[in-house]
Amino acid sequence: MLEFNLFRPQSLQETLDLLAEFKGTARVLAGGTDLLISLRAKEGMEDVRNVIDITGLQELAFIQERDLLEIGPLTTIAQVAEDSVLRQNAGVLAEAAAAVGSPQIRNRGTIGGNVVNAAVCADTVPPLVALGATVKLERKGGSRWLPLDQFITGPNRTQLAEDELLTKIAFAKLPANASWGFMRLARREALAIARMNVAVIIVRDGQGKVEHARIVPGSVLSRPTGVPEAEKLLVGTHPDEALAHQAGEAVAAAMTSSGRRWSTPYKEPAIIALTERAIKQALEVEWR
Amino acid sequence: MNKLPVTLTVNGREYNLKVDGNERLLDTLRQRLGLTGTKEGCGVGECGACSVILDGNLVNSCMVLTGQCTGARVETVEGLGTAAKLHPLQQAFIDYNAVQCGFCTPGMLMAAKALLDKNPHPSEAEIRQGLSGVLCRCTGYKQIVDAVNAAAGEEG
Repeated sequence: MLEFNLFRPQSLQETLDLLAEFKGTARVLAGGTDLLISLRAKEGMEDVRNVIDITGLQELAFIQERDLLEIGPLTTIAQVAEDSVLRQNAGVLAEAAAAVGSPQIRNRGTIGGNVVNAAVCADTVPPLVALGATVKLERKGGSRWLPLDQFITGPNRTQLAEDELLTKIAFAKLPANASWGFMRLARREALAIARMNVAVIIVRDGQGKVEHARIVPGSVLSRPTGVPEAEKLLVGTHPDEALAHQAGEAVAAAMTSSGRRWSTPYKEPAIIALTERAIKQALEVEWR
Repeated sequence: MNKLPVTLTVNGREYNLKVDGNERLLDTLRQRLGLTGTKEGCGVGECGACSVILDGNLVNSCMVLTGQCTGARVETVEGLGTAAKLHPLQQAFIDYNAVQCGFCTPGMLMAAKALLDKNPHPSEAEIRQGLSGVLCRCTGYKQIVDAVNAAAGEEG
Protein backbone atom coordinates (compact mmCIF):
# COMPACT_ATOMS: atom_id res chain seq x y z
CA MET A 1 0.00 0.00 0.00
CA LEU A 2 1.22 3.48 -0.82
CA GLU A 3 2.12 5.57 2.22
CA PHE A 4 0.04 8.71 2.59
CA ASN A 5 -1.45 11.10 5.11
CA LEU A 6 -5.17 10.58 5.59
CA PHE A 7 -7.37 13.61 6.22
CA ARG A 8 -10.96 13.49 7.44
CA PRO A 9 -12.58 16.87 6.82
CA GLN A 10 -15.98 17.42 8.39
CA SER A 11 -17.32 20.07 6.03
CA LEU A 12 -17.32 20.89 2.34
CA GLN A 13 -15.41 24.10 3.00
CA GLU A 14 -12.69 22.25 4.87
CA THR A 15 -12.46 19.75 2.00
CA LEU A 16 -12.13 22.47 -0.64
CA ASP A 17 -9.46 24.20 1.47
CA LEU A 18 -7.47 20.95 1.64
CA LEU A 19 -7.80 20.40 -2.12
CA ALA A 20 -6.61 23.95 -2.78
CA GLU A 21 -3.66 23.44 -0.46
CA PHE A 22 -2.56 20.03 -1.74
CA LYS A 23 -3.16 20.55 -5.48
CA GLY A 24 -2.10 17.45 -7.37
CA THR A 25 -0.69 15.58 -4.37
CA ALA A 26 -4.11 14.62 -3.02
CA ARG A 27 -6.78 12.11 -3.99
CA VAL A 28 -10.36 12.19 -2.75
CA LEU A 29 -11.55 8.98 -1.07
CA ALA A 30 -15.23 8.09 -0.89
CA GLY A 31 -16.30 4.44 -1.19
CA GLY A 32 -12.74 3.41 -2.01
CA THR A 33 -13.74 0.58 -4.33
CA ASP A 34 -11.57 2.01 -7.11
CA LEU A 35 -9.09 4.26 -5.30
CA LEU A 36 -7.90 1.72 -2.72
CA ILE A 37 -7.00 -0.71 -5.51
CA SER A 38 -4.87 1.98 -7.19
CA LEU A 39 -3.28 3.04 -3.89
CA ARG A 40 -2.44 -0.56 -3.11
CA ALA A 41 -1.02 -1.20 -6.59
CA LYS A 42 0.68 2.23 -6.50
CA GLU A 43 -0.41 2.67 -10.10
CA GLY A 44 -0.68 6.23 -11.37
CA MET A 45 -0.19 7.43 -7.80
CA GLU A 46 3.42 8.66 -8.06
CA ASP A 47 2.56 12.19 -6.93
CA VAL A 48 0.04 11.24 -4.25
CA ARG A 49 1.04 12.12 -0.68
CA ASN A 50 -2.38 12.87 0.80
CA VAL A 51 -5.76 11.19 0.76
CA ILE A 52 -8.86 13.16 1.71
CA ASP A 53 -11.64 10.94 3.09
CA ILE A 54 -14.95 12.69 2.38
CA THR A 55 -17.21 10.01 3.85
CA GLY A 56 -17.78 12.30 6.84
CA LEU A 57 -19.55 14.86 4.63
CA GLN A 58 -23.07 13.57 5.02
CA GLU A 59 -24.27 16.79 3.33
CA LEU A 60 -23.10 15.17 0.07
CA ALA A 61 -25.27 12.06 0.51
CA PHE A 62 -28.77 12.81 -0.77
CA ILE A 63 -31.35 12.07 -3.40
CA GLN A 64 -33.80 14.95 -3.71
CA GLU A 65 -36.59 15.98 -6.02
CA ARG A 66 -36.61 19.70 -6.86
CA ASP A 67 -37.13 21.15 -10.35
CA LEU A 68 -34.61 18.51 -11.27
CA LEU A 69 -33.71 15.25 -9.62
CA GLU A 70 -30.51 15.84 -7.67
CA ILE A 71 -28.11 13.20 -6.39
CA GLY A 72 -25.27 13.87 -3.97
CA PRO A 73 -21.99 12.22 -4.97
CA LEU A 74 -21.69 10.30 -1.68
CA THR A 75 -24.94 8.44 -2.36
CA THR A 76 -24.00 4.77 -2.53
CA ILE A 77 -24.68 2.69 -5.62
CA ALA A 78 -27.01 0.55 -3.45
CA GLN A 79 -29.01 3.64 -2.44
CA VAL A 80 -29.34 4.66 -6.09
CA ALA A 81 -30.49 1.14 -6.99
CA GLU A 82 -33.14 1.04 -4.26
CA ASP A 83 -34.43 4.60 -4.17
CA SER A 84 -38.16 4.78 -4.92
CA VAL A 85 -38.04 8.29 -6.44
CA LEU A 86 -35.30 7.22 -8.85
CA ARG A 87 -37.01 3.91 -9.60
CA GLN A 88 -40.12 5.81 -10.60
CA ASN A 89 -38.61 8.79 -12.44
CA ALA A 90 -35.25 7.55 -13.71
CA GLY A 91 -35.59 3.78 -13.65
CA VAL A 92 -32.80 3.28 -16.18
CA LEU A 93 -30.29 4.63 -13.66
CA ALA A 94 -31.59 2.52 -10.77
CA GLU A 95 -31.52 -0.59 -12.99
CA ALA A 96 -27.92 0.07 -14.02
CA ALA A 97 -26.89 0.71 -10.42
CA ALA A 98 -28.37 -2.63 -9.39
CA ALA A 99 -26.07 -4.34 -11.92
CA VAL A 100 -22.84 -2.92 -10.49
CA GLY A 101 -20.31 -5.32 -8.94
CA SER A 102 -21.71 -7.13 -5.92
CA PRO A 103 -23.73 -6.23 -2.79
CA GLN A 104 -20.46 -5.35 -1.04
CA ILE A 105 -19.33 -3.02 -3.85
CA ARG A 106 -22.76 -1.39 -4.15
CA ASN A 107 -22.91 -0.78 -0.38
CA ARG A 108 -19.60 1.01 -0.40
CA GLY A 109 -19.11 2.47 -3.88
CA THR A 110 -20.65 5.85 -4.60
CA ILE A 111 -22.24 7.35 -7.68
CA GLY A 112 -19.83 10.28 -7.47
CA GLY A 113 -16.92 7.87 -7.53
CA ASN A 114 -18.35 6.00 -10.49
CA VAL A 115 -18.62 9.28 -12.41
CA VAL A 116 -15.29 10.84 -11.43
CA ASN A 117 -13.31 7.63 -11.89
CA ALA A 118 -14.73 7.70 -15.44
CA ALA A 119 -13.98 4.09 -16.28
CA VAL A 120 -15.34 3.29 -19.74
CA CYS A 121 -17.26 0.40 -18.21
CA ALA A 122 -18.90 2.47 -15.42
CA ASP A 123 -22.47 1.18 -15.38
CA THR A 124 -24.16 4.34 -14.09
CA VAL A 125 -22.58 6.63 -16.69
CA PRO A 126 -24.51 5.68 -19.88
CA PRO A 127 -27.88 6.06 -18.11
CA LEU A 128 -26.82 9.41 -16.65
CA VAL A 129 -25.70 10.63 -20.07
CA ALA A 130 -28.96 9.38 -21.60
CA LEU A 131 -30.85 11.32 -18.90
CA GLY A 132 -28.92 14.45 -19.88
CA ALA A 133 -27.20 14.75 -16.50
CA THR A 134 -25.06 17.72 -15.58
CA VAL A 135 -22.48 17.78 -12.81
CA LYS A 136 -21.62 20.52 -10.34
CA LEU A 137 -17.94 21.03 -9.59
CA GLU A 138 -16.91 23.18 -6.64
CA ARG A 139 -13.58 24.65 -5.69
CA LYS A 140 -12.47 27.15 -3.09
CA GLY A 141 -14.22 30.36 -4.12
CA GLY A 142 -16.13 29.09 -7.15
CA SER A 143 -18.24 26.49 -8.87
CA ARG A 144 -19.29 25.44 -12.36
CA TRP A 145 -21.74 23.09 -14.03
CA LEU A 146 -20.83 20.84 -16.97
CA PRO A 147 -22.85 18.38 -19.02
CA LEU A 148 -21.67 14.90 -18.01
CA ASP A 149 -20.77 13.91 -21.57
CA GLN A 150 -18.39 16.88 -21.72
CA PHE A 151 -17.09 16.34 -18.18
CA ILE A 152 -15.79 12.89 -19.14
CA THR A 153 -13.20 13.41 -21.87
CA GLY A 154 -11.88 9.87 -22.32
CA PRO A 155 -11.07 6.61 -20.50
CA ASN A 156 -10.46 7.58 -16.83
CA ARG A 157 -10.12 11.21 -17.88
CA THR A 158 -12.33 14.12 -16.86
CA GLN A 159 -12.25 17.90 -16.77
CA LEU A 160 -12.06 17.83 -12.96
CA ALA A 161 -9.31 20.24 -11.89
CA GLU A 162 -6.90 19.31 -9.10
CA ASP A 163 -8.68 21.56 -6.62
CA GLU A 164 -12.26 20.70 -7.62
CA LEU A 165 -14.78 18.36 -6.02
CA LEU A 166 -17.90 16.89 -7.63
CA THR A 167 -20.76 18.01 -5.37
CA LYS A 168 -23.98 17.30 -7.27
CA ILE A 169 -25.41 15.36 -10.20
CA ALA A 170 -28.69 16.67 -11.65
CA PHE A 171 -31.09 15.72 -14.43
CA ALA A 172 -34.74 16.10 -15.38
CA LYS A 173 -37.27 13.47 -14.42
CA LEU A 174 -38.30 11.27 -17.30
CA PRO A 175 -41.71 12.31 -18.68
CA ALA A 176 -44.63 9.95 -18.19
CA ASN A 177 -44.52 8.89 -21.86
CA ALA A 178 -40.85 7.86 -21.64
CA SER A 179 -39.67 4.30 -21.35
CA TRP A 180 -36.18 2.85 -21.08
CA GLY A 181 -33.95 -0.17 -21.47
CA PHE A 182 -30.58 -1.11 -20.02
CA MET A 183 -28.52 -4.09 -21.13
CA ARG A 184 -25.15 -5.27 -19.97
CA LEU A 185 -22.77 -7.98 -21.07
CA ALA A 186 -20.22 -9.40 -18.64
CA ARG A 187 -18.49 -12.71 -18.06
CA ARG A 188 -20.65 -13.46 -15.02
CA GLU A 189 -23.77 -11.94 -13.52
CA ALA A 190 -22.03 -10.68 -10.38
CA LEU A 191 -18.55 -9.42 -9.61
CA ALA A 192 -17.74 -8.84 -13.25
CA ILE A 193 -16.93 -5.63 -15.01
CA ALA A 194 -19.23 -4.88 -17.92
CA ARG A 195 -17.60 -5.70 -21.25
CA MET A 196 -20.25 -3.50 -22.81
CA ASN A 197 -23.49 -1.90 -21.75
CA VAL A 198 -26.11 0.32 -23.33
CA ALA A 199 -28.80 2.64 -22.01
CA VAL A 200 -31.83 3.50 -24.14
CA ILE A 201 -34.53 6.08 -23.46
CA ILE A 202 -37.48 6.38 -25.82
CA VAL A 203 -40.28 8.97 -25.68
CA ARG A 204 -43.41 8.16 -27.71
CA ASP A 205 -46.52 10.16 -28.57
CA GLY A 206 -50.08 8.97 -27.90
CA GLN A 207 -50.05 6.89 -31.10
CA GLY A 208 -46.83 5.13 -30.17
CA LYS A 209 -44.64 7.05 -32.62
CA VAL A 210 -41.13 7.79 -31.35
CA GLU A 211 -40.67 11.49 -30.65
CA HIS A 212 -37.26 11.30 -29.04
CA ALA A 213 -34.63 8.60 -28.59
CA ARG A 214 -31.37 8.35 -26.69
CA ILE A 215 -29.00 5.45 -27.23
CA VAL A 216 -25.85 5.63 -25.11
CA PRO A 217 -23.40 2.71 -25.11
CA GLY A 218 -20.65 2.13 -22.55
CA SER A 219 -17.20 0.58 -23.16
CA VAL A 220 -17.82 1.10 -26.86
CA LEU A 221 -16.81 4.68 -27.64
CA SER A 222 -13.81 6.55 -26.28
CA ARG A 223 -16.13 8.61 -24.13
CA PRO A 224 -19.79 8.22 -23.15
CA THR A 225 -22.05 9.94 -25.66
CA GLY A 226 -25.20 9.12 -27.54
CA VAL A 227 -25.06 7.73 -31.06
CA PRO A 228 -27.11 10.22 -33.15
CA GLU A 229 -27.04 7.97 -36.24
CA ALA A 230 -28.80 5.25 -34.26
CA GLU A 231 -31.19 7.61 -32.46
CA LYS A 232 -32.31 9.29 -35.71
CA LEU A 233 -33.33 5.95 -37.18
CA LEU A 234 -36.01 5.53 -34.53
CA VAL A 235 -37.47 9.05 -34.41
CA GLY A 236 -40.78 9.42 -36.26
CA THR A 237 -41.29 5.65 -36.54
CA HIS A 238 -43.03 2.76 -34.85
CA PRO A 239 -39.83 0.72 -34.52
CA ASP A 240 -39.91 -2.97 -35.37
CA GLU A 241 -37.28 -5.63 -34.88
CA ALA A 242 -35.52 -4.84 -38.16
CA LEU A 243 -35.22 -1.16 -37.30
CA ALA A 244 -33.91 -1.94 -33.82
CA HIS A 245 -31.31 -4.17 -35.47
CA GLN A 246 -30.33 -1.32 -37.81
CA ALA A 247 -29.94 0.97 -34.79
CA GLY A 248 -27.62 -1.64 -33.31
CA GLU A 249 -25.61 -1.68 -36.52
CA ALA A 250 -25.32 2.12 -36.32
CA VAL A 251 -23.89 1.79 -32.79
CA ALA A 252 -21.45 -0.85 -34.07
CA ALA A 253 -20.46 1.50 -36.89
CA ALA A 254 -19.78 4.27 -34.36
CA MET A 255 -17.65 1.83 -32.39
CA THR A 256 -15.49 0.90 -35.39
CA SER A 257 -15.15 4.49 -36.63
CA SER A 258 -12.10 4.80 -34.36
CA GLY A 259 -10.53 1.67 -35.82
CA ARG A 260 -10.73 -2.10 -35.71
CA ARG A 261 -8.95 -4.35 -33.25
CA TRP A 262 -8.59 -8.11 -32.88
CA SER A 263 -11.69 -8.11 -30.66
CA THR A 264 -13.90 -6.14 -33.06
CA PRO A 265 -15.45 -9.17 -34.83
CA TYR A 266 -16.59 -10.42 -31.41
CA LYS A 267 -17.84 -7.06 -30.23
CA GLU A 268 -19.86 -6.10 -33.31
CA PRO A 269 -22.60 -8.77 -33.01
CA ALA A 270 -22.61 -8.30 -29.23
CA ILE A 271 -23.27 -4.56 -29.28
CA ILE A 272 -25.83 -4.97 -32.06
CA ALA A 273 -27.73 -7.53 -29.98
CA LEU A 274 -27.43 -5.51 -26.76
CA THR A 275 -28.76 -2.39 -28.48
CA GLU A 276 -31.57 -4.31 -30.11
CA ARG A 277 -32.57 -5.85 -26.77
CA ALA A 278 -32.38 -2.54 -24.92
CA ILE A 279 -34.66 -0.96 -27.53
CA LYS A 280 -37.00 -3.93 -27.22
CA GLN A 281 -37.02 -3.55 -23.43
CA ALA A 282 -37.75 0.18 -23.80
CA LEU A 283 -40.59 -0.46 -26.23
CA GLU A 284 -42.00 -3.15 -23.92
CA VAL A 285 -42.67 -5.44 -26.86
CA GLU A 286 -42.05 -9.12 -27.60
CA TRP A 287 -40.53 -9.82 -31.00
CA ARG A 288 -39.59 -13.39 -30.27
CA MET B 1 2.53 9.12 7.30
CA ASN B 2 0.17 10.41 9.96
CA LYS B 3 -1.37 8.42 12.80
CA LEU B 4 -5.09 8.77 13.36
CA PRO B 5 -7.17 8.15 16.46
CA VAL B 6 -10.06 5.80 15.74
CA THR B 7 -12.80 4.62 18.08
CA LEU B 8 -14.83 1.76 16.74
CA THR B 9 -16.96 -1.10 18.02
CA VAL B 10 -16.20 -4.63 16.88
CA ASN B 11 -18.65 -7.37 17.85
CA GLY B 12 -20.00 -5.15 20.61
CA ARG B 13 -16.62 -4.30 22.13
CA GLU B 14 -15.24 -0.77 21.87
CA TYR B 15 -11.65 -0.19 20.78
CA ASN B 16 -9.60 3.00 20.89
CA LEU B 17 -6.82 2.72 18.33
CA LYS B 18 -4.15 4.82 16.69
CA VAL B 19 -3.72 3.68 13.12
CA ASP B 20 -1.68 4.59 10.05
CA GLY B 21 -3.55 6.48 7.36
CA ASN B 22 -3.19 3.60 4.92
CA GLU B 23 -4.23 0.78 7.29
CA ARG B 24 -7.10 -1.32 5.95
CA LEU B 25 -9.94 -2.46 8.20
CA LEU B 26 -9.02 -6.02 7.23
CA ASP B 27 -5.49 -5.59 8.63
CA THR B 28 -6.79 -3.94 11.80
CA LEU B 29 -9.13 -6.86 12.42
CA ARG B 30 -6.60 -9.58 11.71
CA GLN B 31 -3.32 -8.15 12.92
CA ARG B 32 -4.20 -5.59 15.56
CA LEU B 33 -7.27 -7.23 17.12
CA GLY B 34 -6.34 -10.86 16.40
CA LEU B 35 -9.69 -11.53 14.73
CA THR B 36 -8.35 -13.85 12.04
CA GLY B 37 -11.72 -15.33 11.11
CA THR B 38 -12.00 -12.66 8.42
CA LYS B 39 -9.86 -13.81 5.48
CA GLU B 40 -7.91 -11.99 2.82
CA GLY B 41 -8.46 -13.51 -0.60
CA CYS B 42 -7.93 -11.22 -3.56
CA GLY B 43 -7.43 -7.90 -1.77
CA VAL B 44 -9.16 -6.02 -4.58
CA GLY B 45 -12.85 -6.44 -3.79
CA GLU B 46 -13.59 -9.34 -6.10
CA CYS B 47 -13.77 -12.42 -3.88
CA GLY B 48 -15.63 -11.34 -0.75
CA ALA B 49 -13.59 -13.52 1.64
CA CYS B 50 -12.97 -10.43 3.80
CA SER B 51 -16.67 -9.47 4.03
CA VAL B 52 -17.78 -7.92 7.31
CA ILE B 53 -20.87 -5.96 8.31
CA LEU B 54 -20.12 -2.26 8.76
CA ASP B 55 -22.94 -0.19 10.27
CA GLY B 56 -25.44 -2.78 9.08
CA ASN B 57 -24.13 -3.06 5.52
CA LEU B 58 -22.05 -5.86 4.03
CA VAL B 59 -18.68 -4.51 2.82
CA ASN B 60 -15.28 -5.84 1.75
CA SER B 61 -12.94 -5.00 4.63
CA CYS B 62 -10.02 -4.87 2.18
CA MET B 63 -11.63 -1.80 0.61
CA VAL B 64 -12.17 0.21 3.77
CA LEU B 65 -9.52 2.22 5.58
CA THR B 66 -9.70 1.91 9.36
CA GLY B 67 -9.26 5.69 9.47
CA GLN B 68 -12.69 5.94 7.85
CA CYS B 69 -14.33 3.93 10.63
CA THR B 70 -14.54 6.30 13.58
CA GLY B 71 -17.83 5.67 15.37
CA ALA B 72 -18.52 2.60 13.24
CA ARG B 73 -20.02 -0.70 14.34
CA VAL B 74 -18.26 -3.70 12.82
CA GLU B 75 -19.52 -7.27 12.93
CA THR B 76 -17.21 -10.17 12.05
CA VAL B 77 -17.65 -13.91 12.01
CA GLU B 78 -16.27 -14.08 15.57
CA GLY B 79 -19.34 -12.21 16.75
CA LEU B 80 -21.84 -14.64 15.25
CA GLY B 81 -21.87 -17.33 17.92
CA THR B 82 -19.71 -19.28 20.35
CA ALA B 83 -18.48 -22.88 20.23
CA ALA B 84 -21.06 -23.66 22.91
CA LYS B 85 -23.89 -21.81 21.19
CA LEU B 86 -23.55 -21.57 17.44
CA HIS B 87 -25.50 -19.05 15.40
CA PRO B 88 -28.32 -20.75 13.43
CA LEU B 89 -26.42 -19.99 10.21
CA GLN B 90 -23.28 -21.68 11.54
CA GLN B 91 -25.28 -24.75 12.62
CA ALA B 92 -27.00 -24.87 9.23
CA PHE B 93 -23.64 -24.71 7.41
CA ILE B 94 -22.56 -27.78 9.42
CA ASP B 95 -25.86 -29.61 8.91
CA TYR B 96 -25.84 -29.04 5.14
CA ASN B 97 -22.11 -29.67 4.61
CA ALA B 98 -21.79 -26.13 3.31
CA VAL B 99 -18.07 -25.98 4.17
CA GLN B 100 -15.42 -27.53 1.96
CA CYS B 101 -12.01 -25.85 2.26
CA GLY B 102 -13.60 -23.22 4.48
CA PHE B 103 -11.77 -20.17 3.21
CA CYS B 104 -14.89 -18.42 1.89
CA THR B 105 -17.03 -19.53 4.84
CA PRO B 106 -16.60 -16.46 7.08
CA GLY B 107 -17.48 -14.20 4.14
CA MET B 108 -20.42 -16.41 3.18
CA LEU B 109 -21.71 -16.39 6.78
CA MET B 110 -21.48 -12.60 7.02
CA ALA B 111 -23.13 -12.15 3.61
CA ALA B 112 -25.92 -14.49 4.75
CA LYS B 113 -26.30 -12.65 8.05
CA ALA B 114 -26.46 -9.27 6.31
CA LEU B 115 -29.13 -10.66 4.00
CA LEU B 116 -31.27 -12.20 6.77
CA ASP B 117 -30.95 -9.08 8.94
CA LYS B 118 -32.70 -7.13 6.19
CA ASN B 119 -34.80 -9.86 4.64
CA PRO B 120 -35.62 -12.68 7.11
CA HIS B 121 -37.48 -14.77 4.53
CA PRO B 122 -35.57 -14.51 1.25
CA SER B 123 -36.44 -16.49 -1.86
CA GLU B 124 -33.75 -18.72 -3.32
CA ALA B 125 -33.07 -16.05 -5.96
CA GLU B 126 -32.64 -13.46 -3.21
CA ILE B 127 -30.27 -15.77 -1.33
CA ARG B 128 -28.16 -16.25 -4.46
CA GLN B 129 -28.18 -12.49 -5.02
CA GLY B 130 -27.23 -11.85 -1.39
CA LEU B 131 -24.30 -14.28 -1.59
CA SER B 132 -23.22 -13.16 -5.08
CA GLY B 133 -20.36 -11.07 -3.74
CA VAL B 134 -18.52 -14.04 -2.22
CA LEU B 135 -16.76 -16.53 -4.45
CA CYS B 136 -16.38 -20.18 -3.43
CA ARG B 137 -13.63 -21.83 -5.47
CA CYS B 138 -14.66 -25.26 -4.23
CA THR B 139 -17.94 -24.35 -5.98
CA GLY B 140 -20.10 -25.73 -3.21
CA TYR B 141 -22.77 -23.11 -3.77
CA LYS B 142 -25.75 -25.48 -3.68
CA GLN B 143 -25.09 -26.59 -0.11
CA ILE B 144 -24.46 -23.00 0.97
CA VAL B 145 -27.73 -21.75 -0.52
CA ASP B 146 -29.58 -24.67 1.08
CA ALA B 147 -27.98 -23.90 4.46
CA VAL B 148 -29.00 -20.24 4.32
CA ASN B 149 -32.49 -21.24 3.28
CA ALA B 150 -32.76 -23.64 6.21
CA ALA B 151 -31.42 -21.09 8.69
CA ALA B 152 -33.92 -18.51 7.42
CA GLY B 153 -36.77 -20.96 7.99
CA GLU B 154 -35.52 -21.69 11.50
CA GLU B 155 -35.24 -18.06 12.51
CA GLY B 156 -38.70 -17.26 11.17
